[in-house]
Amino acid sequence: MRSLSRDKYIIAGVITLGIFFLGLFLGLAIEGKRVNYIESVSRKQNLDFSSLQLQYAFIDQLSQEKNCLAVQKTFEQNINNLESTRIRLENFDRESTLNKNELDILKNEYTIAQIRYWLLGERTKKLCGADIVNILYFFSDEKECPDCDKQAFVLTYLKKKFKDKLLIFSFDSKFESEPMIPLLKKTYNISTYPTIVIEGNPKSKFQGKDTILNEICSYYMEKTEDCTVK
Amino acid sequence: MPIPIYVKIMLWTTYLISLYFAIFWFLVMVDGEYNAKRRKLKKFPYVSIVVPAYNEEKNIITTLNSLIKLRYQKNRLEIIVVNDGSTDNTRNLVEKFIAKNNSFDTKLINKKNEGKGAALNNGLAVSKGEYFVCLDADSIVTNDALQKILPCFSDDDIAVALPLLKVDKPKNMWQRMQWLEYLVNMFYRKLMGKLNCIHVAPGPFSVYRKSVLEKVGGFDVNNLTEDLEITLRLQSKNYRIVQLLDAEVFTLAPKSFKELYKQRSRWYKGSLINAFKYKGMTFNKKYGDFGFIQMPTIFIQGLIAVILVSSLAYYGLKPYVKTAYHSILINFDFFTLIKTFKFDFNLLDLNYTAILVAVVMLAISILVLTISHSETKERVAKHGTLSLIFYLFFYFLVIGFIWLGIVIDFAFGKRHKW
Repeated sequence: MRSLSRDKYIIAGVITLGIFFLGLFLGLAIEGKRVNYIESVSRKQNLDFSSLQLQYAFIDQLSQEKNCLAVQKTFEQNINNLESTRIRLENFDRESTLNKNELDILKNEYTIAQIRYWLLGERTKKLCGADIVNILYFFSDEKECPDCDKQAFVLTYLKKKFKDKLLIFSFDSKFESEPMIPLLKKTYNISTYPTIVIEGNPKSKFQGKDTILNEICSYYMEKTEDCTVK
Repeated sequence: MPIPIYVKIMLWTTYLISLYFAIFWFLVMVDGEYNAKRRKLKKFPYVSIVVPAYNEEKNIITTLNSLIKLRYQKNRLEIIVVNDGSTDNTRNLVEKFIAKNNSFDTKLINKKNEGKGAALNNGLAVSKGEYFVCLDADSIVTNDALQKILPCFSDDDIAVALPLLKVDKPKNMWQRMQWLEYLVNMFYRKLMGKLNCIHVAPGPFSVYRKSVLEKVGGFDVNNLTEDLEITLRLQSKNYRIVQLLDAEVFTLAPKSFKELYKQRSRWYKGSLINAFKYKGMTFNKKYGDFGFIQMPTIFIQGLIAVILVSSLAYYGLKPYVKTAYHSILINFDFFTLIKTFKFDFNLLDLNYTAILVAVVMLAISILVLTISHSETKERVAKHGTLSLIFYLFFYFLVIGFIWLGIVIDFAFGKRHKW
């Protein structure tokens, strides 16, 4: 009978499990920190929204249209912050294991925030006469929407091209725990993905760069260089 | 990009198994010093060195020259070159060599091509020595090798003693990476030797006790890797195999990816086929550690390599391929994308679990590499830092790729040709 290093097999197993659990706890600790981070950012962004709402109310009631430009800058900045946090939240959610519920609640908050900003944007367009086009983008997972990657890529590109003159609000169509999502889907008669709604006009299936560009340019009062040069 | 849960579980299992093996061998390393026992040679035992050669006109003379320089009693040494049906100038060159060096007992056997196993058996049949040494015709021996190896046969159950194998004068990156790989393998094999777990006695200058070799029936003539088969057979009969780290032998290493692929494909396929042949030893208490750690390693090493490389390639490269493909949608207008690029980084974005895995693996690799250098008495970065970096971060991908090729070959039932 040959010798068997039984002790070493057991010790190696214990150390391996030790390292595994260390990794697991580190992962969970990071997840907790991520949730805290998003929560604190979200509180700050809620405050920002209230402040912005107040600024518009101020302009509206005291006819302070001359301040429109400055407030619109804040509006744009807030929306950008909101979008980058939303993307971060999506990534965190993908990697999370135990904090799904907390992250889902946060996702809910972000969906509501997007809708609030969209509605506020609509109001300010009238109030300040801003030359802005809104796009609502409804996406789904890879199974239901293999073209969503492409659509998101094109929209990101157009956002970078038109910057503050184009506002894009993305909605996860699967996120039906927020009642506003089915409501919006019903309003615009959305059943396939990707669907984009440009200034209230829904377009289902993947839309190429030029199609969207032509459409949004038709809404601008002042045609920029990007609308003429393709 | 989201990684499906079953892929995650597979990757974690792969990682934990690799980690387990690394920790196990680390424990073996720290558990006391180990050196093969040596006894003083009272007399010079008769040694037969068999050099199987198939179309080796480029290297055979260098190999034979290194043999006649061996510091050993001339009349206790015979060299048998088995010309395995070479179609080049090998035969002429060897004949000239014999004529020139007639003070040495050198024989040439010419036979039709039947493969290395048969050639070694031919040599074995005519050999007179107490010890049988096989030497590939692309290897060079240092002159004190025999004197260092023979004293290791201190116990009767020691069947084979292996020298320290190094890559000869590495010239390009492929050979430099293999130079490092050989150092690590030698150190790893020394650890295996500690638990009598060595599973292969490679072609260059493995010294066998001839009586044992004859008792087990010589080499398998129909085998891709006859050196691996004979070692597994010896293990199955509970013989011991020892690894030395002072008797040096140099071997030529493949100098291109194509050559490396061909060589490794044969080795790895051979290891799998032979492991199946001796599968009864796996997790069999009768064979001790060999059955519990080495046999499973032979079976799963390829699987681990394939899982790692394919998932790394798929999930690592897919986003870039996608972006490149999507660029068509925006008429390759990268300027707009770069112009407005905003650096938005948060420490929490990092995937710490993946980083922890990478750090642990890298630390183990660096530790093993450092110890391997010191055990084989080589200077770190002897052949440049670049080869070290390539070895650490790139070489495992190459090996994984070769394993992937093997899996595909097996899946499509492709037979390996020599």
